[in-house]
Amino acid sequence: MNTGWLLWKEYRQNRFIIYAALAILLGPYLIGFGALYGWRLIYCPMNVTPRNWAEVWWRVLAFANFCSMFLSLLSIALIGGNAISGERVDRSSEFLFSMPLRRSRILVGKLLLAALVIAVIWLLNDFVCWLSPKMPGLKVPGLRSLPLAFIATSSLVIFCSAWFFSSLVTSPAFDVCGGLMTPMLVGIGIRFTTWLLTPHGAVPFAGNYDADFSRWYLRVCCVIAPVCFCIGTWRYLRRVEP
Amino acid sequence: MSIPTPNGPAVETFWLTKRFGRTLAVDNLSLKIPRGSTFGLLGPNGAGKSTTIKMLMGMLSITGGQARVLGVDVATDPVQVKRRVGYVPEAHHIYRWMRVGEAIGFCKSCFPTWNDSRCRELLDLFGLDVQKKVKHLSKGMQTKLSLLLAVSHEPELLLLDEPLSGLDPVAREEFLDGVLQTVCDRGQTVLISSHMLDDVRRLADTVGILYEGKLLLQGHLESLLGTTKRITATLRDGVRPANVPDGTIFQRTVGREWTITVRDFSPEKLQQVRALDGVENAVAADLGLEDLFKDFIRGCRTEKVLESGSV
Repeated sequence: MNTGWLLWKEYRQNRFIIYAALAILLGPYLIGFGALYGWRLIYCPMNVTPRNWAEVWWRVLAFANFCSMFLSLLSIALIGGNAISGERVDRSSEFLFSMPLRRSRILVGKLLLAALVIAVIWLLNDFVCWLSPKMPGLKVPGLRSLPLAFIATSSLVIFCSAWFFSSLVTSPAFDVCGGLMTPMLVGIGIRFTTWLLTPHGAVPFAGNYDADFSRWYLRVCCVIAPVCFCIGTWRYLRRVEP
Repeated sequence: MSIPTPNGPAVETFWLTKRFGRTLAVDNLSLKIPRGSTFGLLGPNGAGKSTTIKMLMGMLSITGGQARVLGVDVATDPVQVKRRVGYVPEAHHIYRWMRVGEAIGFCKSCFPTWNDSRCRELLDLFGLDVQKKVKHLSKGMQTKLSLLLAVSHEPELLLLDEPLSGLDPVAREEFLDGVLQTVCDRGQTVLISSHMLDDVRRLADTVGILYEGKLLLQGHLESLLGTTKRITATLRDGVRPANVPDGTIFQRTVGREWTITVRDFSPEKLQQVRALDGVENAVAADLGLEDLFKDFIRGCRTEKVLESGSV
């Protein structure tokens, strides 16, 4: 079997999700710059101009970058949640599994497509982040000040848990929601555990709450993500039924 | 790793069992289908036909027993089985967004033994348009496409799971012609499950009747039809005699008429019936496949009711 055919099949099967991911990725930039352009059209004839156009431009870019990156978590959940259950729900997996294909081969096709889409999302957003400090005379802090590690870990745990649910439950909606809920549950879990373990009247994490919360969040996510991914993959490979 | 045996049976199952929770779908099924034969698997809804075929295709896990297809153990090497078997399911789940040509290209990339000339021959025979999307095909055309995809890689065994259900008589006829031309005439093995008994009779040389996961009988169709007869007797006072001949699979009394369906019929059995108390006269008649199937199933149901004490 030509892997190209499998990749093509995955692309065609998930093309609407990919289009939605592209819209989510580019939408904030387009909306931001569209609004800026409109503002220019309205106010420039009235001689109302900001003191530093470059700064305004970069602030819009920073905000669009943040929105795009944050909203892309939804795209990642959609990709992970539909990866396995998307084919099961319309039963086209029965056709696929009547072909002499090894599960691992099909899995590679699915992961390759997911990796490609996620890479495009991250490359574009990271490129914008990389570009920002290079702007001469820029007064705003670099876009790296965004909680990149936080979003990256959340993306990872969302994809892996959505993948896990997708291998378990034949309902893409449930799987996507499951993926999106997981980081929230991790955050709630950490806060609840902190509240339980902190003696009455004491300050949680010895006063350095935000930094310690983030550190624990990253640690827990980094454990949950590979576990979910491995269980999901194992289940997919072991299951005889389509 | 199982070693395929080139001259062994095409399908062989040993105490094959499938359980869905508490429901026993297939119960210790032992079946043997010789190579080159066309086997009709008959049974009412929920008898376990589709479950059996899916297990043979390696698309359903096996709870107990073993299934060997073309000498390969399905549980250990399902990919090898799928490479050598063609499968036409009852409901077709070919990607609906694919065009006919794309579906052919996709399947072709999966099978190293794909035969382009056979594929083109079938495209012409079925009148399929390669540019048309699968979702725009009628049910009959989807079934034909499914058959085309199943036989173009020249499988040694073709599994047809209720392929004729929901098709109009013309589409059924065209489908059967396709099967006869492309598979049966080339000496490949076919396993067809269907409710359309006339169509099964046209294709199959051997049949098996499955009921509640159990194989009630298996044998050559002509020999089964030749040896299973219906004896119709007239009763003097309408009271059914207590004794019935050996091999009775079903009996029914309507007024003074007593009908019994007997396996392994012989003239002696007819004499036995005639000699019974209260029987005025008795005649034997041939059975069609449909009557044979119905009487086997009714007989089993009656037995079950009697066993459970409901009557």
